[in-house]
Amino acid sequence: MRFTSFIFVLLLLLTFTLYYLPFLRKWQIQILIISSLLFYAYHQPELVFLLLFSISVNVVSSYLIVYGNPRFKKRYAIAGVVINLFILIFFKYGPLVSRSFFSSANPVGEFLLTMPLPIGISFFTFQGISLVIDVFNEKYVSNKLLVPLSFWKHTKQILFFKGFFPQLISGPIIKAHDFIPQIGFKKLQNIQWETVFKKLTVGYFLKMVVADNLKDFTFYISFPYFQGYSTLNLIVMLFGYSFQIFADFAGYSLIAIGLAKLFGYDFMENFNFPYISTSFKQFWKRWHISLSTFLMEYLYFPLGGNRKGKLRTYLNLMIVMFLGGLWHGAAWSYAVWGSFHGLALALERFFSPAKERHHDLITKFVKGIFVFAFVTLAWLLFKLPDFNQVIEYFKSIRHNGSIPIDFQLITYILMYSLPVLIYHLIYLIQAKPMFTRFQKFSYLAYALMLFLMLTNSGSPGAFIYFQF
Amino acid sequence: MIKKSILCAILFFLLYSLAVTKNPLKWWSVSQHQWQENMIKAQNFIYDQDSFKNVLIGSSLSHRIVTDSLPDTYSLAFSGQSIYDGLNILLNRKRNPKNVFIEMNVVFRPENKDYAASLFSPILFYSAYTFRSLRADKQPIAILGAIMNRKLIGPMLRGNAVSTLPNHELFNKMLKLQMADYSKIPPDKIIQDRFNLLETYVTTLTKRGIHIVFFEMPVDSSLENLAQAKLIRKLYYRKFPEKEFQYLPLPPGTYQTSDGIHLADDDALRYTRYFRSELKSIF
Repeated sequence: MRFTSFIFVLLLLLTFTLYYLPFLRKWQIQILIISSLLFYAYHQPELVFLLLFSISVNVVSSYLIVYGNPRFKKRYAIAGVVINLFILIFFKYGPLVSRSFFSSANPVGEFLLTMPLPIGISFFTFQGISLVIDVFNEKYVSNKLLVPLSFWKHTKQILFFKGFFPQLISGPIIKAHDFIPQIGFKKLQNIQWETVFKKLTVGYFLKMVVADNLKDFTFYISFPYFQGYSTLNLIVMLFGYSFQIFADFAGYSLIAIGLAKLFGYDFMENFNFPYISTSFKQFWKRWHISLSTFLMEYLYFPLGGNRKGKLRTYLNLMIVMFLGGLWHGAAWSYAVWGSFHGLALALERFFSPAKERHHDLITKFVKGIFVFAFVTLAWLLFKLPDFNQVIEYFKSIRHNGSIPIDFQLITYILMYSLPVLIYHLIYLIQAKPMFTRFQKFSYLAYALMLFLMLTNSGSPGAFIYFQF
Repeated sequence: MIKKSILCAILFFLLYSLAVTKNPLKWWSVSQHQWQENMIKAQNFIYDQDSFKNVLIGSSLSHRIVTDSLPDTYSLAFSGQSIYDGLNILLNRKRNPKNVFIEMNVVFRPENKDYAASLFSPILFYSAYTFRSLRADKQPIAILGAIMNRKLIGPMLRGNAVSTLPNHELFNKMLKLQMADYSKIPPDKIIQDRFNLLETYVTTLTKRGIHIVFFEMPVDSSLENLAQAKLIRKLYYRKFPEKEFQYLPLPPGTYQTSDGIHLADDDALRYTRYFRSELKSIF
């Protein structure tokens, strides 16, 4: 179910009303669980069973780690992580394995190709892994807080933790130690309405007005259509896609955060103005923060992080980004995309001085442009998962100088990209006194966003990150 | 803050609605992209009170027909979409045309449910009916973009028109893709489902006293007799026999396309002339 659909609004209103009814207070979690399962089942009802199976694996393994035989604690943890990964690999990477290692006539290959891709599998699997590891390490919070003695209560909590609908299919990836301690009775009067309003307005605006309109212009970055466009059009479309993917995913995350707040839960921020980054390290601290912190906590650190020498640090970065790339999609181009970023991070680390130097504004600007240009070029691997088509795209940029320019396309891409640019600029000037003066008129900006959502929304489209 | 934002948004909306309603200029009706163009075409048909004798149902192939040159005809041929989208819109309109022309070529593409929901979900339908400013052709950013294009970028475009005839290399690639597509036979279930759905639509239209005419858009000669094209023809004649339904014959000669299936500008005009002459001879 899409956050932008009419049916979702109905489900939300109904859930919200029931959730805060005083005589249903003690059923709050159950109400959210039922609502979340309906939300997930809307398009693929049969795959709810897979979600429930995945949840049950985590319920059992985490419970056994805490209350089972302490001698087998490690085994339970390994089994939990392995089964989680098996589910992910089987359903998500089955087709990739089939295409890479089996002929089209092979029955195993054919079977793997027919596997349905459950929406959000990468997100809920990672959350399950975070639960098992958090409980095993007991690093952040006491296990008594994460796993109650009552098996029924534990099941209910994990069902809610993994299934809570705002984050179920596209994150942010919530970690067990962040979320489970928040579970409890919530009161209507504790809702921070202004924050909810701001998050939802900006989120829906980025999705419905910016991303959904840009998608109809960047559609032509598909093979072989792009070959009919001029060099300038191809470059502008690529930058348009860069703004689109940000608006789409950051928009989704803001909506998810706003919705969770409506029910009294706090999710971590998933984006922190990533396109102002002046280094790759900074970019990954600002883009899809819940994934990068997950990879850091549960993969980079266990691999040794930067504690095992320079060479090993570079290798760790490459491994993490390669797997992080592959997490995004079952195609080798995603792995190449991740590896590019891994290489960029490693090279940046190699050339960076030991002590952070203070750069002047021009240097910062040039570095920012360089990082943005690199990130934008790399997005092409998202849009064109066939690597040969990516090469063709670059060839077209080189050779299509004589094709007439479609100025209308450029005008609209620039116009719809402008809000993303302004969004980032606001972040840069927010500390200036001039901005504080304008801030009291911020309601006009929110009014304009509401007006444009009403009159200028694009065609409804699935969120790009749904496929992951 | 929330109240102020909502009140200002309502004020913006009312002012804009007033401006849209009071401004009859044609350039206040703008489409930016294919989806919007399809929405405009459908909304004009649904909300306007004009009646048409002929309605053309099709995909991007028959979208190339220059409908302005055809007497008393409205085109519900949508780029990137299917005939079922057009048929669905037609059934939702109270005033029936006398004749409906249904394109045969793209029959396996399914109905776009998002498109139907955007047009007919109760809230969207009645709000766009009540407020012109909520219709697809009145999007403020689209209008602003059109003004910028007209005033600033338009002059730059002079003598720089984009031709629908691409370079040979691209044409050959597109043709190769189309050949692969036209050589494939869809699974039986899809074939059955689509033709059953089409039959339901046709039966409903016939019961309303509407005369149905099927027609095939000319495509590149190398595609005309590939497996899928032949199968579609065979299934049409089986499901809708020539004794009971009228078919417009394919025009003689070859037609030039931009990508194997979409007629190039000149030949789109040539086919429109043929279509018009057939229309006259039929009725």
